Amino acid sequence: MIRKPYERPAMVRNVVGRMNKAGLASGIARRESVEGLSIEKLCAEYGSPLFVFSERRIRSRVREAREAFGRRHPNVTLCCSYKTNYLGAICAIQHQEGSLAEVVSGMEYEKARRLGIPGNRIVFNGPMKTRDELVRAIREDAILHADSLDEIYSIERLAAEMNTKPVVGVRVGVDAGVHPRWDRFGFDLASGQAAQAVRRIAAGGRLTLGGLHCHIGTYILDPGAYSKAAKQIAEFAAEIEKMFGVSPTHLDLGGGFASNNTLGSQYYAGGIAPTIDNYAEAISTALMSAGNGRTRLLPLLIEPGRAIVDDAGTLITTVVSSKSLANGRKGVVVDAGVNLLFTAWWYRLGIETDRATDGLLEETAVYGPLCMNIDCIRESVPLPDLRPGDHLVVHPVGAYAFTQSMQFIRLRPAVVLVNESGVAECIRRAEVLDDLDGPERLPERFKPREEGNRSAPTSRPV
Amino acid sequence: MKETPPDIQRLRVLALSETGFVFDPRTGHSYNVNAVGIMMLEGLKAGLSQEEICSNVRKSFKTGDAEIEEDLSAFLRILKEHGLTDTRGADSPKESVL
Repeated sequence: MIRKPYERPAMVRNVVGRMNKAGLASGIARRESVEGLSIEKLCAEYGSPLFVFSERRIRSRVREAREAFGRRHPNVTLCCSYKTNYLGAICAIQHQEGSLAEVVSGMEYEKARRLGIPGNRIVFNGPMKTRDELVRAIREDAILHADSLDEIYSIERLAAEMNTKPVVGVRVGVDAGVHPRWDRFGFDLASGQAAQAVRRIAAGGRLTLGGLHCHIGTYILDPGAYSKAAKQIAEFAAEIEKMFGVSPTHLDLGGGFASNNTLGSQYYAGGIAPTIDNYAEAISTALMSAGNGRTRLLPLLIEPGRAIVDDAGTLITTVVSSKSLANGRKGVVVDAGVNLLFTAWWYRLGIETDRATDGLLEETAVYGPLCMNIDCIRESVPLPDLRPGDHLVVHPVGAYAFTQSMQFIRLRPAVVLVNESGVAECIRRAEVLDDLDGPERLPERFKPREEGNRSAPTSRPV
Repeated sequence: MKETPPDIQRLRVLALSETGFVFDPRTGHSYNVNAVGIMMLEGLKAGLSQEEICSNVRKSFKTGDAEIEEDLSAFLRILKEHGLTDTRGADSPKESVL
């Protein structure tokens, strides 16, 4: 008699009235490979958990975005949003595709410089730029966007000290119908603060007016919001020309395009994000038609982050244990948690398994390895009977997951890039304790002494 | 600690299909049960002892002994959570089926 594969006994009550009216497939997909490479082999070589990025997908998304805007606007340049994912290889791919660097700190600026990006191809945004960072940015002719009047005053003082007249743009806040409105950044347009900032730059004599930057928010699902923002910015640029006789050097509509992820509150799973074409159409049409088509069509910068890299990132994780929770629901503990997937708090991340099953799927909570109750990747996802050593594949995690990951309780794992030939290359090794301890300085009196001469007790207390 | 045997009177009325569909005519609820669960449920309905149920599962599926016993205990807890069994006190005068 042939013995069948064993799965732990499971029983799920059928609940009437909760049918999937959208008619989407339910259940879970089986996935044995990532980018054509065996999950088992990747884990054997690089360990688990493991971030896997696809070079092919990043290049393809950059090209898609460039073509979508290029078909509709004569002068568009994409920028690589560093904060979304500043792993050197990930940024380098985008730079090879012609993207500028978009940074929001001196640390990110330095990372771009180390990748060989000259200052004049770095867009320097953000609410905080230190004196040293500004000095460097001015000296290297970076594309600066000022966030506050205090920052403009600082740049003016530095300009005097350095005997130069830097080009400085301003970040403009507009009401594009997005809630909550991001009004903590830049200068509000409607209340006249943006005009005041431009007046200070254009008429102050110490600075030269650069571009107008605008970033209306993140994961914006309505391309119409970009239409509203673009129209206001283009008309403001025309007004500036009328008022001061100078034109901004460029318009920068920021990023915030949605990826094909699933928000926690979303009814459907994935698939609701507008295409890059939708965003390009909204922005370009608004710019072309602003002022009844009579405004000057300025060079356009776009800073898509999530929409470029999210889909290119996958996290492989391994089941550590499974258990029955107090309410009878199943739970599994895996070796990657919110320490690596900060984004799990607002996304319903996709989870697939490499385990074959003909059996029953049970709603299962997926917990991470941290000894913290908050460490939950998914509260409920239909999964088969999982055993220690089985793998789960979490996708998409290319945006923000790595840059926001933390060395909390556990060190961070390796990251590999699957190149266009389908070969995995390690682009970040797994961390070791010295990576965390390196900056620490332990006062001499706390250092362990030689065996047999300890000041601290050594016997086991219980 | 010896586990208290479950009262399986309620299990006896369940309708089981070999594909894993289970219907409870008492409440109108229906369930899906996997292959191992169905074999255990059939054993419980038939009044088999835990040892006999484990032995049947062992003959049909590839697994270790200790695991089956633990899993049968867990399955009995699932049945109880669904209200399909009552656990009697150890000194209950009712007939023990296990």
